[in-house]
Amino acid sequence: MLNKILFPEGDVIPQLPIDLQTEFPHIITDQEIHAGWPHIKGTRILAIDIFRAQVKGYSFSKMIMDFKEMGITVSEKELLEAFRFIVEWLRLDAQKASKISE
Amino acid sequence: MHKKPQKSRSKPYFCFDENLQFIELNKKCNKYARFESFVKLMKQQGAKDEQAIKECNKADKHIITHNTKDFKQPASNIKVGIICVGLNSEEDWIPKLIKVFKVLPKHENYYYKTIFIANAITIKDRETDDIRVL
Repeated sequence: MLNKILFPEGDVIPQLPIDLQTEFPHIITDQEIHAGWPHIKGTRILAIDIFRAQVKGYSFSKMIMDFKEMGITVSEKELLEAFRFIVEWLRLDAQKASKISE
Repeated sequence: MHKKPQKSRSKPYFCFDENLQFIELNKKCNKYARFESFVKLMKQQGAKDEQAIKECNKADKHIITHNTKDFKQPASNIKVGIICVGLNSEEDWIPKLIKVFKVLPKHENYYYKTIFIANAITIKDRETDDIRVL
């Protein structure tokens, strides 16, 4: 199950738990942006990309600088929320998978 | 007033999506192509997929994105080329993209092409439906 979020196959988007959509106000989905993958509101920045960059050791301050170079304004709060969103999504997904296997 | 005729481009011009990996792309591939972000071109962030395609087409800049779904089949009036990156790690896809730049070095080589970069590189001509695998 985890692989479908971190390593999606083809064009299939894993199901997004409803709780996540209210808990993280800066992270939204829109069918007309990246086919509905969760992204930071007011940008095209995917939450999953922020998670991947963080895991690779990319700091938020470096991300803010690099996005600025691309002409994109984004705050540390939004980046942190994107990261937490994915962590929570993975947690809920793992929980769901373990319930199914029980 | 007459508009000055546009100079023909040798190196391809690309617009890239809002993704950190394109910073690395710009550093590694600027000898093959010129890159600009969607945001700088459109002077707005968070554009919808279709709007981004239209604006890049208007500006005659090819597109490079990680969106492998909505950019694959643009409307028939879209002339610019679209490169869809289906790999997550830039260590995997940038060398493949360099291979594409070597095979298609000029701006006009990308017109009406959709290039899908995954484990293999697939180049589809949207006018003729010809498919070439690199």
